[in-house]
Order: sequence, then structure tokens, then C-alpha cells
Amino acid sequence: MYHVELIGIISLLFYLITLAGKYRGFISSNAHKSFWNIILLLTFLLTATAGIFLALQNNYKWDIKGVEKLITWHVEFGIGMSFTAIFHLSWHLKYFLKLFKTTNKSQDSHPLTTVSAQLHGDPAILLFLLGFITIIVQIVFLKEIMNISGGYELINGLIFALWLILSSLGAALAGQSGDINIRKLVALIPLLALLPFILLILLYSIFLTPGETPSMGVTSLISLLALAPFTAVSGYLFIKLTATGWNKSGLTPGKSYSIETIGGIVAGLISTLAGGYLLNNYQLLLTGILITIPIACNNLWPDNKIVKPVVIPLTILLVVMSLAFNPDRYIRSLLFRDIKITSSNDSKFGNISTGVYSGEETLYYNHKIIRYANNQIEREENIHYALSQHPDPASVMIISGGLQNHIGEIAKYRSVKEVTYIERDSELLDNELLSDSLYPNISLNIVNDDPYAYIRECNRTFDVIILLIPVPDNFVSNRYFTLDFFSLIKKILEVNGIFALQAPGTNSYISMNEMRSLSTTYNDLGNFFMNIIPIRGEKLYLLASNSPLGFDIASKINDRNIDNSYVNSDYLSETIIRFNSETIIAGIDSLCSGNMLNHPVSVFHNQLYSLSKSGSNRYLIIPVILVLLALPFLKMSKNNRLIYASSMNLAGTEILALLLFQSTIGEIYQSTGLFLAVIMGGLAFGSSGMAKIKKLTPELATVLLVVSSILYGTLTPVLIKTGSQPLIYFITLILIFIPGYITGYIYMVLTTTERPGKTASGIYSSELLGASLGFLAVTGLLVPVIGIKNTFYILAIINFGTYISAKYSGNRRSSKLAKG
Amino acid sequence: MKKREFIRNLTAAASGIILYPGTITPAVAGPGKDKYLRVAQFQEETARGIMCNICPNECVLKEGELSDCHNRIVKDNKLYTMAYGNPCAVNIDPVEKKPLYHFYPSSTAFSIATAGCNFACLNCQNWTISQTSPDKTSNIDMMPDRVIEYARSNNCKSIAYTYSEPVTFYEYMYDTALIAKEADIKNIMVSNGYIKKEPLIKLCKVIDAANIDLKSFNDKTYLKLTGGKLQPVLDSLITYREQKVWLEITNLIIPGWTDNLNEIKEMCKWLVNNGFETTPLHFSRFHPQYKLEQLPPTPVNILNEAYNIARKEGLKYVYIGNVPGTHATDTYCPECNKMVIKRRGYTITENNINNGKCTFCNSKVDGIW
Ligand code: SF4
Repeated sequence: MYHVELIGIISLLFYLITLAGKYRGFISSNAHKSFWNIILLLTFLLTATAGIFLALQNNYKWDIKGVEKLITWHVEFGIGMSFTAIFHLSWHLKYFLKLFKTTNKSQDSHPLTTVSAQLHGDPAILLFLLGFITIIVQIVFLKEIMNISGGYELINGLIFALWLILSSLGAALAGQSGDINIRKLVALIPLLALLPFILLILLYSIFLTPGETPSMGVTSLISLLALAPFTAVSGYLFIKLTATGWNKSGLTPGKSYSIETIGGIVAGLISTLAGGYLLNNYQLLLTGILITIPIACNNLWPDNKIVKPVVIPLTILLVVMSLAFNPDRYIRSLLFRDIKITSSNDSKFGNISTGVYSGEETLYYNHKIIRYANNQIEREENIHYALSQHPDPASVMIISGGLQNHIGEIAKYRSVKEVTYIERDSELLDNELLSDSLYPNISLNIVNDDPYAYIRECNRTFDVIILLIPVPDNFVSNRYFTLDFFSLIKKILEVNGIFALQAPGTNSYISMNEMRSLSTTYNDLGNFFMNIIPIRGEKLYLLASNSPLGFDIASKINDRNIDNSYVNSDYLSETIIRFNSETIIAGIDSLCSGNMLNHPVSVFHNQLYSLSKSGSNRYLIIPVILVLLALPFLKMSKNNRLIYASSMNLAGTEILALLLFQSTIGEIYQSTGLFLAVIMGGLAFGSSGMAKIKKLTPELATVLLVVSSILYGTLTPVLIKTGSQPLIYFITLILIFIPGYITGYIYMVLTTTERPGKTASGIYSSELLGASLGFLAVTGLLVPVIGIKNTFYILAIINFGTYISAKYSGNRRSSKLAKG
Repeated sequence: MKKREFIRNLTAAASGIILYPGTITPAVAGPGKDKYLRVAQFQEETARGIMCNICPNECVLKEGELSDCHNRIVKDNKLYTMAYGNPCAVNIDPVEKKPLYHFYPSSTAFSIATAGCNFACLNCQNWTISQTSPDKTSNIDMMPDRVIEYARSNNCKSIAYTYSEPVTFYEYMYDTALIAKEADIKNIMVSNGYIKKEPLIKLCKVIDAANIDLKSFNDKTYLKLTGGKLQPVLDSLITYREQKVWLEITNLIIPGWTDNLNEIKEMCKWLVNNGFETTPLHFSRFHPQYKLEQLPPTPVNILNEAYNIARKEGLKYVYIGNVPGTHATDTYCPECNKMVIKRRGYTITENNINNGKCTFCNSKVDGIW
């Protein structure tokens, strides 16, 4: 096993650090280049020497001691060399970028003034388009990568962080590069926006075998490679367009920032309103890209006679075609490869695709199988382990998991009079092919609502409640495995009722991470129920009740004359079930407990379990990355520190708000766009200068961030407790607007009187670096370890520390800047 | 804590049978783990290090290095197994679940596994133990004599070495099987068949039955899917047969990987031509697992087609597994073609075999009944 991802990520991070060091002036440009030249030379020498020895062994059968090790060295150093060579190449990028240069420019003139001369369009419109298209790509990419990789929120933080690091690289390059004609690059932006998705599909088929779910490492690598060209170019263009705006129309960098951000807001709002209701993921992407083409063309070539008569009708035609022939079905087929995708729709909560393989249909929800043909084992286990325990079940509640699958099994109990089925996704309900007449003796109550919210408000009781939401490996499913939820279940369960859920640990051995998650659920249930037994069938179930529970499931089924094909005495034996359950109970760790909405420990255990599939505990790399991202902070100038800390707070708050949303309202698939729009609204408002407050220095603005973080932290338990959707929306949106505004404001103040060159790009890079740290630290470390509320407090402490360090550092320039 | 103890006592009291002759003790981690080290069999010193000669991977290891199967290590220039007396999975299973249909039907098998496997199947159901080593799993202290005690006290006819890959805990399996044999408890090996001839011949002396996974009949697929090769598995099948171990073969049909019907036909032809005509063949339904979570379960029509091909090619006992309610779990007499055993799940609902012979035509029905 060679360490392509690890070496790649570490090399990249080191490169970014020395690069940042160079820009910040800690090390000279020569020192930076020498360092990487030496690395390149060393990796080359080691790779070459190992290669020669290997050749000698191969050709002349020389028995060189330790030669097997050389193969590893040869490859590992080769990987290191390749990455170093890529960085090396970036120094000579100018040579390649010359392709974009015009011939009659003066090398002596200020690079940014010549830019404006070469760009005919209105920089404000182009900045708006850039912001619009960037956010459309970001939202669609995030949704897709969540689908492909199993829906872990950690991926969200990772993508945001990667995005920012790559954009900051592009921005930094722009600050350094000279006389470049960006017109062609601007024209290419709509096409470049497609590139991440083309690369995603391509890399997916290169790195993964059919049907394989990528590991975290592979997801990071695919995302890095797929996003690199587009994000780097968009970061680069932002700085160039900002400079053009300054030179051509007197637009301050703050204003440029806010215009670009407004483009992002529009994209965020459109994707929130249209995506999931009207447009599928790829429809949204294509429509977004297509509508920018005529605007960009018209702006760049205002006098060109082809634009209006040809480009506009062609674009309209393509938009109509994309709306009429759902392209998602075809694009998703490329991801599923051997499986023919017959439908693919995006709902508010995720992607629903139907695949056909050899005539059998499978229903996928966010690329996870939720229904398949001939699933009698699963549907019988889901229902009968629980229902058979109740002497006379009359009312049954099923939480998600499909009704069509299960109603036939429930109907085998003649005492059942009513079934309540709750499913939040109306598109999934549309997939249920049910006819009332099939079960005339059962009154069906199908509820299209968030199960958590429904149960909280529910004021009646049930004999049996079966939770069919899969194990808590993300914040949404975790809601149903928390102490908070179990207390609600207890409230709506009859005194002798039965509660059943699917627990982690399906195989003959329960791994340590699964056992921790299982123990947490088992112990937490113990706070509400006297009896809890695990039943291991094809899956593992936990049954909880205040009445005695038995292992004699097969005889209970026989006694009722129920005809099952799997849950019966032909397959199940009391002795075996008892033995296996006893073994599981013996392994329960009494120290694991306390899974809560505010502190979702089970998510952490289950994500570690999933990460262990890639063979090693890659989670350990997260603290290393965090340290590497945090290091530049120590050597930064005061101004850069302020923007670094505020953008870290902004990113952290954004991700915390999303997680809180996941935990309370239960979705981010749709709300991501809205969140981005509000944050960008804050950024735009702050950076536009419209809301400039005379006495608000960047240092004082940092104190406001401290206050907002403390406020949000304090409100977290209240929001969780009330669960009121309007209140959560209202408070969350306000509280993410504030850090957005402050970060934009600090950016505006720090860049207002500076000439937009190195300083603007330096501040922009610091901002992006800080945000990357915020995203990664919160999702990868802080929330799993200390929970949502305490993470807000940590953000407050970091900002307070920055305020103190800024206040007592000698540099008073930013204060003066703010005062004008 | 108290509540858990209460529940444990309650369930134990309600059981009315003694499940454990004593309590199950966790295996010691840390310094005491040397207790589970044993000098490995079939090792050989080479110029490049110590070679493990158990399986065709032929790992050559230097001091401190771990084998590909994750449980053999070189210490003081000697190869040790770290998997001895420390199983991580202990369960009781019906013998039909292994699957073995022709070996003491309706009996139970005391099933154990330690961590480690010499393959790395993308679809491994037991990846949490197969792709790791014994010092990373939570184990139970269970030396060979205790295994026999547990099996006996739980009325198990046999001990099954299963779940992960028993070839990699060869020494533990061998010693346990030896004692079990003396105690008249049968030994079952559920394996990928990736073992060299010499250790296999030695093992066959103490093993009564084996179910071997024949994962594909395409060498490239074998390599891509499992990391192993096809030929050594075919060689092992022949050795098992020659050594008179009762053998059944499982072929897991994975959509897009091993569901090529031409290859299935080739495989059946090879089996018939190499004397496995009367060896039961189980076509098993794949369920999304481990790294192949986005693949659908095997369509039942493909399993049915594979079943028909195998019958047509001349295999006498063909079954479909993991599909409750299918007709293809019954046994037919190879001579008169009448149904001799009707199964529902792991239960026999009709038995027309007497002394190993068909009650209709008196011909032999292969198996150990
Ligand atoms: S041979 Fe069996 S235990 Fe080993 S990896 Fe393959 S499926 Fe898993």
C-alpha cells in the first residue's frame, strides 16, 4: 500500500505553509524556492538510486539486501517527487499563462493597470457572474460528494476547507502575477464550471471499482483533483477583477467583494428555492451555467454581432432541453456504471434514484440502498422481532424505512387496528405503491413530517414503535438515537409498549467502534426502560420495554400461526439467539453513554467505524492538518490575524449552524444554499462599506464575534429544547449573518486604503486559510470531542485571544484605517 | 451498571440452561498478550527473512514485520502466530448456515474466529476482523480445551473455524481440532481455500468437513476482488477431495463481478471434469457489504439461471443460499431424481434418506448424515 493521499496532502500543506511564509515575508522568495528545489533534488536522487538498484536486481539478478524495501522507497519518493514537481511547475506558470498574454504590453507598467485596459466588460457584472457561478458549483458539488461518499458531514467541512485553500492559492498567484489578459479566462469560466463534475465522474471511475463507496482519503483526493482547476482560477480571477474594478471604475476591493458575494447570494437563493423542488442537481448546475453564458459573452464582446442572434437563442434552447430531458438520470448512470438508472430526482432531503440490474429494481437514497427486490429477510426482521414481543399490539408506529415493505408483515397480527407511518421526504412517500383496500382492517395514518418534530408534538400513545432509520453515522440519523429522543419515545409508548431500533454491529464480530456506539445506545435506553435485549439476526436489533422481553421469537410466531419465510422456527432457535445476545451484552461498555443532540458521540463512533474501512486510522491526520493550518497564525501581521480569526469564526459558525440544523430540523441538503446566501449577505453588507460604523475598529469587531459566539453557544440548548422550526431558522440566520457581516467589515476596513495588490491578496489568502481551519477544526475535532455548545465557546475564546493580541501589538494601523 | 447486571442475571436465569462453563473472560491486551503467541508451523528461513509456508502468499518477513494476513510476526528470527486462544468472534450457528447441507443436518456448530485473513475481498462481510490483527480486536480468552468445553456444554455437534480465514489461525485450529476429534466433536473449516498443499494435508487429518469459497472462475477477477489467485484454490479443492474431507463449495454471485453466466458454466464444467460432480455447490446471494455497498443484492433470476446451468452441466447437488422461500434448498436423489430432503430454512421438513440411501431407489446420497 503506497501513501499517495498522505504524501500528497502533507506535501501540499507544507507547500502552502512555505508559500504563505513567503508572502507574509517570514522567508524570502529565494529561500522558499531553494527549500523546494532541495526537496525535489532529494526525492529525485532517492527515487533514481532506488530505481537503479531495482533495475540491477531485475536485469542481473543481483541479490541486494533490502531491495524489497527499495520498491517502497522508489514509489513513495516518486510520489513525493511528483507533487514537488507540480509545485515547481507553478513557478513557471507564467510561461504557460503567456498564452493568454497580449503582445504589446509593457513589463514596467503596473500589472493591474494593464489588466483593465484589456478587459472591455464591466468588472462589476463579471464579479457578480463569478460569485454566482462559483456558489452554484459549490452547492452542487457538495451535494454530489455527500451522495457519493455516504453523507458524512465531515465531508462538508473538508470540501469547504479544500475549496478555500485552493481559491487562496489562486488568489495568491494573482497577487504575484503580472500583466495577464484575463478576458479569455473570464470567457472560459462557464466551461470551467463543468470541469469539477467531469473530473469527478472520471476520477470516480479511475479510483473506484463498480459499487464501491469511497473512503475519506479517496474522497479528499478526488475532491482535491476535481476542484483544483476551477477553484484556483476563480480565486485568481477574483483578485484580477477586483484590481480591474479598482483601476477602471474605482471599485474598492470591499465593494468588489460585496458584488461577488451578491452573485453568490443570488445563486444560494436560487438553489434553495429551485433545487429540490423544481430542479434536480445537474439540472440546477446546467441551468446556472447556461444562463451566465450570454451575459458573459455580451459583456466581454459588446460589439460582436454573433452574441445576440446566436448565443442567446442557443442558450435558451439548451436550458429548455435540460429542463425537458432530465440529464441527472444519464449523469447518475455514469456514477452507478453497471446499474441502469431509470429515474433520478432530488428532493429537499437528498437524491432518490431507481436502478435496475438484470430486471430487478433497487431504490437508492443518497446512493444508499433503501429498498430492493426479494427483501423478505429484512422486512420480516424489521417487524416481527418487535411485534411478536407484544401480547396484543393494536397501534403501531413505524418511523421511516418504507411502508409498502412492511405493512404486509404488520397485517399478519390480527390485533393491529392502526398503523402510523412517518416519513419526512414526500418524494419517498410518492414511491410507496399502496392501496387502502389491501388492508381493510387496518387504519393507515401516513404522516409526511419530520418524525422527531411529529413525535415531540404527539399526544397519544402506541403499543409498538419501530425505528427503521439506519445507524447514527450522521447528524440527521443520530437525532433518533439520542437521550432526547428516547425520552420522547417513552412519552408516547404505552406503559408495556415495545420500542425497537436497528443497532450498529451486524456481523459475527462487533468492532470496537461499533461496540462503543451500540453500548451508548444500549446504556441510554437503560435510562428509560427496564428491559433491553439485543437480537442478532442478519442485522442487530435492540428491543426495549418495561415489560419482560423474550428470546423465544420463533415460538411466539408459531403460537400466532404467522406464516413467515425467515422469522420462524425454520431459521431461528431460542438457544442461539439467547447465546448471541448474552455474548453481546457481556461486551457492552458501561462507560459509553450520553448521546445527545448537542453532543452527538454516536456519530463520531460510527464515522470512525466507516473510516476504518480504509485500513488505517486516517482520522489522526486531522489534528496534523489543523496544526499546519494554525501555524501561520503565529507569524502573521496583526491585520492578517484579525481577518484569519474572524473568518475562522465565520466558517466555524456556519458549519455549527448546519450541524445544529441537522440535529434539530434534520436537513441541510436544501438549506446549504440558504445558509451560504445569508452568510454571503453578511459578507456583502460588511464589505460594501454601506454599514461602516465610525468607531468600530477591526479589533472591536472581533469582540462582537466573541459576543455572538457566546450568545449562540448559550442559545444552543434552548433551540434544541424548543425544537421550534421558525425560531431555529430565525435565530440561526441572524447569528450566521453577524459573523458574515463582521468578516466582510474587517476585510473592507483592512483593504480600503490599500492598493489592491499583494496586500489585498494577502488578506484574502489569510481569510481563506482561517476559514479552512474553522471548517476542519469544527467538524473533524471540536464537535465530536466537546459538542456543539462548547465549540461555540472555543470559537469565542480564540477570537478573544486574537483581540487581546491585536490590542497589545504595536501596530495601530488598522484602527486608524477604520477611523478613516 | 446495576441495571445491566440485573438484566444479565435476568436473562441468564430465564435461560434455564448453562451456556458457559464459567464466565467468558476477555483476552488480555498489552504485555500479557504474549500468552497468545505460538511458534508458527511451516516456517522456513531464507536469505531474505523468514518465509511463511502456510498459504500461497508466501510472506517473507524480517524481524518485527507482520504477515499479509495480519497475524504472523517475526520475533527473534522466528515466525510466531499471534492468533492462538484469543478468538474475537464466538457464536453458535446452525450447520446449514456455514453452509453445509450434507453434514449432520440440523446440528449446531460452535463457531470461532480470530482476526486475520490472507485475502482482502472488497465484499468481505467480516472485514472488521478479517482485515485487522488480533492485537486490534477485542478477544476472548479461550484456549483449545476451553473451546471443546464450550462446544460440549452448548450441545454443539461440531466446532466451526469460520468468519475470518482459519488458514491464518492454523495452529489454533489444528490443536483445537485435534482435541475435539478425541472428544468426538466434529471439525468444520469454512475457508477461502488459499492454503498450500503440505499444511493442508496435515490439517485434513483432523478436519471432518469444509466449505470452500470458490469466488470466481476468472483469475483477473480473483485478483481484483480478493487479492488472491484462482489456481491455488482449485488445487486445494482437489486436495480436500483426495484427503476425503467432506467438501461443499460456495460461489457467491456478485452483480457486475462474478455474475458472468459463461464463467459460471466454465466453473461447473471444471468441477464435473475434476471429480466434484457429487460435491454440493451453493450459489449464494450477495448483499451490499464493506466496500461494495452501492451494488444491489444479486437478482434472484441470476441465481436461478446459475442453478440451472450447474444442474445442466451435471452437478448433482446444487443449492441457492440467502434467499428464503426458494425451491433450491432441497436435495434430490442423484439416481431417481426424487426429492430426498425438503428444507425450510435450517430445518428439515421431510427426510427420505435412510442410512445414507434414498428411500425411493436405495441409491447412495452423498454426505455424512
Ligand atoms: S476470504 Fe473471506 S474472510 Fe477473507 S477477506 Fe475474503 S470474504 Fe473476508
